[in-house]
Amino acid sequence: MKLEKLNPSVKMLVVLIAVIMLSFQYLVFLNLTVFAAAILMLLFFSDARLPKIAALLVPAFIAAFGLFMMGLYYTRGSSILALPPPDAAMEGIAAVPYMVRAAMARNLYSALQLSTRLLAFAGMGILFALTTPGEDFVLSLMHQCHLPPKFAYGILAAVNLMPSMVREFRQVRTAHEVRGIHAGPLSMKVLFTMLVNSIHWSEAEAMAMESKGFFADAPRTFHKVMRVRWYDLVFALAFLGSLAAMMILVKY
Amino acid sequence: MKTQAYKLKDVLMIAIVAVLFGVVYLGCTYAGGVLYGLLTPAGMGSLGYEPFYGIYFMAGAFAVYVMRKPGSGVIAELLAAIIECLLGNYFGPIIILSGLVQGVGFELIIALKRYKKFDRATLIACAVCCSVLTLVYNLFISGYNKIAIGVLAIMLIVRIVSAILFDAIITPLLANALAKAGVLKGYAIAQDIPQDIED
Repeated sequence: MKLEKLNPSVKMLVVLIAVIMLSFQYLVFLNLTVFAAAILMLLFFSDARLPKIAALLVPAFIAAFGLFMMGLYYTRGSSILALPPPDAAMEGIAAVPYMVRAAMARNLYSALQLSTRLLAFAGMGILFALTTPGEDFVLSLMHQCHLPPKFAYGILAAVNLMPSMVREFRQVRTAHEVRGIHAGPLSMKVLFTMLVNSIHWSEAEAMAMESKGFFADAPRTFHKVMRVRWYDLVFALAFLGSLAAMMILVKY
Repeated sequence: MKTQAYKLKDVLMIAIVAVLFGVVYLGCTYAGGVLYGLLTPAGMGSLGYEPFYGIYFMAGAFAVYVMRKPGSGVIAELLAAIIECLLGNYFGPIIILSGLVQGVGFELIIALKRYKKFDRATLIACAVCCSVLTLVYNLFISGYNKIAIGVLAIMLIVRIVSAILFDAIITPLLANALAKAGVLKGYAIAQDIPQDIED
């Protein structure tokens, strides 16, 4: 049984419910368990390989570290911003780093609470991202979540246009550089040109799709239909059930 | 929300523009990363990406400003979020939740004004509303509730400035220029902007 076989909409719903459940608690150990469980499930029950998992984990860890440092310094009630000004008569300047360190020690737990929650979310996000083929996800949104076909195929068309768009973006920037106009990623001239291209693309693409017989609001048949099966429900119940049980049992 | 009101061309325009702003945002993450590195020793690393936060709302802002239809901002942000999810973000489907908050946050004021007013003051109100709502979302989901009020205030101010710059100044500037050039003929914005006529 592989995670890839699960219905994408069910998987998405499970992740979203779990995120909302986890948002009501600040248990470091529970967060770490969810994170570890997600990574272990990926390693043992999916085709995702370690290098791919690591590639997504690195930015997640960087973000978690940023949040950790923020919690360490600025937890409400014990923030280093709220420290009294150094008292020269008592211990002089040396008292300041001490007070900062004391505040950081007090804040360590909340720093961990914040950063491990982000890791738990990232774990589940990566679990979804690496086991859900994009096309299946969009098809499932159409079949289970009633996303109208024009939105589903519109999304797929836009996503598949992305490589050409990145190339075009680079080309437009180079074209400006050649003429001696410096063009950063936020240059208005480049953005304007790219928007003109995008709108032309959308018109051409719509015409192409319609001329091939795509009618937005007409009933249609599907080459592949995503379905919800018994094991999807088993997965959802097992995942959310064990999470609920841990929320009651785990105290840290 | 009537989906029949959107033609395939409209949907493709929203989706392609969402991808474009996604690419622009990626172009900025390098600068955000440098800022993150500089600010992390001071515990402010998470603030590094805030100056670019307004780019997140651009797809929604552009769509609702150009189409002026109920739901266009929310739909654009949702499509942008689904696309980001497909491209492999480490937050996966959680992005869709944030997309919904961003779309509702930006469109709320415009909806209250019944999709009739699109002047600078309205757009600034939208940008502020969106920044406040997304920070409330962060308070709950990201646990920012634990952070000192002073730091949250700095975060909110940077986010509001970024949202006003990108969504109340740059986005209408670009959209107006496009309308003037006659590129947006099929959309509601074209009725309000005089076009350059070339014969």
